[in-house]
Amino acid sequence: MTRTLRTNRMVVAAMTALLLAATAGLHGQSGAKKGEWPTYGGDLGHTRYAPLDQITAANFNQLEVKWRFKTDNLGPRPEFNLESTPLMVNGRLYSTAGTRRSVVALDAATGELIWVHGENEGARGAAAPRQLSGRGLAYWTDGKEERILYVTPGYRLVALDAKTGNPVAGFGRSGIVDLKEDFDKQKLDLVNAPVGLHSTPIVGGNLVLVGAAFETGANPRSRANVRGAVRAFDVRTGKLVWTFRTIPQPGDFGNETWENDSWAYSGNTGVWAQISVDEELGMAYLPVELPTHDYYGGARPGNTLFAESLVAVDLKTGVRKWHFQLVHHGIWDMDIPCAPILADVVVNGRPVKVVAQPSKQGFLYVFDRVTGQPIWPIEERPVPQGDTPGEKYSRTQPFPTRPLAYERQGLAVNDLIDFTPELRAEAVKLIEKYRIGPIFTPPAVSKAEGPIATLAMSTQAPATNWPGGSFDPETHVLYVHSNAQVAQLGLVPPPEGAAPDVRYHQGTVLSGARRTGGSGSATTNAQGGNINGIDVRGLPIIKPPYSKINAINLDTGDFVWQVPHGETPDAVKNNPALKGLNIPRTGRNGAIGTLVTKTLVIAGEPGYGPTPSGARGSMLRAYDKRTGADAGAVYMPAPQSGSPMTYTLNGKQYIVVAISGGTYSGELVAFTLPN
Amino acid sequence: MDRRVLAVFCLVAGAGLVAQTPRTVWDGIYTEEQAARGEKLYAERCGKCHGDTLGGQEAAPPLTGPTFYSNWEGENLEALLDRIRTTMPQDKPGSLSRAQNADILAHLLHAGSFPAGPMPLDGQAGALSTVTIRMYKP
Repeated sequence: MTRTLRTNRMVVAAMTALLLAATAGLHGQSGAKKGEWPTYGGDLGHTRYAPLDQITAANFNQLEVKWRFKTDNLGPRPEFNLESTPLMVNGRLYSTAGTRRSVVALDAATGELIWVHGENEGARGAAAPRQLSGRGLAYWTDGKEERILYVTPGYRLVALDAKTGNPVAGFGRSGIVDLKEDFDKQKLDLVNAPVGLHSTPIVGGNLVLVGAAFETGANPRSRANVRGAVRAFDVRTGKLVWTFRTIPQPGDFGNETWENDSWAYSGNTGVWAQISVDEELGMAYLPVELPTHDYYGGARPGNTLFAESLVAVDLKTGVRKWHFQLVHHGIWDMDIPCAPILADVVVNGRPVKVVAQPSKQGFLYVFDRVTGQPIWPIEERPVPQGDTPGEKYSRTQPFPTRPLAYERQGLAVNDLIDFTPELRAEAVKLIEKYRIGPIFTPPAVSKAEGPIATLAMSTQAPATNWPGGSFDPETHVLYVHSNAQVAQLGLVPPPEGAAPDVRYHQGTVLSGARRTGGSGSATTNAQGGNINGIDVRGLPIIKPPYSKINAINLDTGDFVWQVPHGETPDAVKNNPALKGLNIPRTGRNGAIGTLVTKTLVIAGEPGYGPTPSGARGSMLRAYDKRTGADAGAVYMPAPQSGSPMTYTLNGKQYIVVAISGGTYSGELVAFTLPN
Repeated sequence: MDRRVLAVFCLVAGAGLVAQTPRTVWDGIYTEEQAARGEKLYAERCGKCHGDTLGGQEAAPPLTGPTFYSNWEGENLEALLDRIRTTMPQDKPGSLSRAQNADILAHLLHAGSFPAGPMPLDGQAGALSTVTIRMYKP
């Protein structure tokens, strides 16, 4: 027996060596190199991986705050939602920060401010649909010159000299390209046109790629809006090189998928999430959101390419190479919310370059990133049809067969809270007037007698949102945080005169003065804590875990581990209805990015919660990346609001994370081990 | 000498605190009328981002439910009012009066099923610093 095992191990070892040798030539996405963190995602494939090993399970609890950088005075008021992942190159740390989205360069060892650049965009900034400090920036160098590129709230692409912070004179007009100009032949009001971008530009080759974001699409003022498009600019001059239309116009591939000429007026369909680039293949991967109106598609019948599609384009030309639509005729606000992750893996003994797309709907879609072929079958299956007047539903939707969904989807009675039979019974009663069903159950026109709305997990209240996931190029394991939370997908007529050509807005008959004219419409709950009655005595209507980190082997599509992320919230722990019960760690809801190092997966807990000392705050947690076992936790005075990154400087490994929330304004915090 | 000055200061400051009895959000600290005004203001100025159901959307967090109240548990209401007053609405921060912000806060409390009372929420500076946010009735 022992011998057999040993033999098998030797065979496995030999096979592994062969496979590693086979994949070594692929020069795939191998994480952040040289101890630096030069792009938002660590590398252009957004692995969020760095092979650093000074900080381990053995010492994580000893981490100390090395420096802090407070962002309050970078704008006219403090910011409480700092989402940046900073970059670190050549000993300098770069980040966006503050309510005007300033750029700062800090000494990465001490946090000392080296330079700051800010743009006061006046009325244009105030009108911006995506405000505050954004998610970060991009870095470019040709070996001599170094540049920082970012998009302002008012939607202008700025190039700065990384050494001085001064705008680069030869880029655009005095260092600035106005992104509201030359935007797929659209005439836009430079001040008020509602387009911007939270995510960072990405530099691939000598191009800088930029997407577009809009006002949130639940309650549009019109069925018409600005069209999304992805553009690439020459990183040296700022000259427009190509435009990829996400809404195909007449003569373009896919135009016929917009029925009733809805391509002519529909907007959105932008790429507001991070774009990924494979420089070796010369391809860029665009995660496209849905068209105007997140929940009602009556004004845009058809599958409406390239909505909610992953589109691969030629990096140099922007010409489409392949696409895959993840959701047909979307009415759930699924979008594609985060970076496609580029990974070089081995499937059935064959090395393959894949792109793995985490999603709000809790599916991980995995494709050959050269051809667009699914690695494991993705089946078109019939889905529930609704009864909203004017809506034309897609009869089928794509279902990945592997990996299985990493988060719960839709809603079933079995998903409901079950700490006690009484709580379950209350939950069952509560949902009587709501529509429930599997994933892709359509939103409901809200009626007092029911359905008030469709209740569903992994839709607008997403499994995974903008932070996306991580990938370990050595073990081929992908890590992604997910939430189980319930959204109310209800439709009501828009307020009188607010949106003449829009038939429905999101909402329910229970909510809002615009709906019922009375504050007393909200259901009351003697225990407190919630509006509109979809929580049970202040507890989430679903059973835990409310959030977890999922580890998925991309060679096989199997789960390696799944663990709840975040100590049980006070609101659950101290709930009178649970007195005397032993509640295991439930996890907490939030948009959480992960970092992978040589041995650890690192992520801050979502929101405020109990801490070991009792101090108000949240913990930065580490897990053994092989097993998911706890590997340490350090205190932070506020929750993680950006994704953690890591680098090495002067022999020390740093972990830097943006924190903020509640009364705690935005701050970058750097942790190191004590001397 | 210094200690005596400090002691006198503490006495004076203490007297001020005693005058404001500590309360929680469960003590009927807003009126129904105020919450109704706040609901209208919320729909006009806040709902676009935070959603009609206060459930949050793409670019704005929920303003009710366990996650929201966990984040504010134990804080004083003045801090929440200040946060709203100085940073919201995002397209025109600081454009609402203290009274209007107090009305919106009353709507949030009403939506959170905290009981109304006979006196409206006082938006004047410092007035809410002794009111603690508690998700559950103490």
